[in-house]
Amino acid sequence: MTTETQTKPRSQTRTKLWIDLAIFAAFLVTMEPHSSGLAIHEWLSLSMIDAIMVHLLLSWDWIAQITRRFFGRVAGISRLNYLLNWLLFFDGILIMLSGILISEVALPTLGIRLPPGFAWRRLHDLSANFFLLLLGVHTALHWAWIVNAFQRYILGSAGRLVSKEQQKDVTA
Amino acid sequence: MKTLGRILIILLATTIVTGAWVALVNGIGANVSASFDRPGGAEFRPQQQGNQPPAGFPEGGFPQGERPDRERGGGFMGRFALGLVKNVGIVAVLVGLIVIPKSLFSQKRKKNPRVDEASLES
Repeated sequence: MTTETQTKPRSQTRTKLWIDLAIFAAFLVTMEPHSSGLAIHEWLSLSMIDAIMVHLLLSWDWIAQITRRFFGRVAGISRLNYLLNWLLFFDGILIMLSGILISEVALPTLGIRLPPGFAWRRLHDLSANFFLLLLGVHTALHWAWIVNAFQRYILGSAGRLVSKEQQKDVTA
Repeated sequence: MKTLGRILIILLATTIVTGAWVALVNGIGANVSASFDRPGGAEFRPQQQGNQPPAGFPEGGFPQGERPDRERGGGFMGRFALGLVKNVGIVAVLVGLIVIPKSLFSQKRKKNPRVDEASLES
């Protein structure tokens, strides 16, 4: 993943980092519907669809590359990553689909009412818990990239900001 | 234009996977739905008349889209923080379980390249 940081434009990597952090934070909030309330849970989840779409678009080159070469010469870790990403995609869609089908706030607000489905409710819980595990593995496999990007764009920016302030103080 | 095409591919893949899930759950899942439903046989489904909610059920679910507070200690922020810590903890444990052995192995390999050869031979 270090190569990904090096070859992609800096702004794109920074955007991806912030979007990923936002998705992660939003996912943590949506995992607690009893505390955050159903309205936040449902609307935030629906808004995450856009963020995930951008995440996929920013990773498009990697996705396309591995799709083309999956059965050819590809590093084992990339192949594992690719399969895990498809699992995340399948599970993410199940969460969204089951969530929409059992929606109690968002869909009724839009004037859509669906019959209650306990099977979908159970699937929603199961798929969300499974997604948390997949997300853990996904984070672990991209850990080097996360640390690298975090150091470069968050700690680095904060460091530059602090040194600028110090320079201002000295000149004043 | 390129981005639009990519968005369409993502939407197409999403539609296919959604259709597959619906078919799977409605087809195969319908036969085993009893295991997902509440124990003790038939699932509880209140009588619904048209688009109106059943008697005793408030319009649009819970007021302001919130479930009533449960009788548990800790308060809103306490419960929220606890849940947050639990989920971050699960992710952290998984990251630790994968990243630490991986970095240890790569350190070992840097120090002694023969370790890698030995592991390949076994």
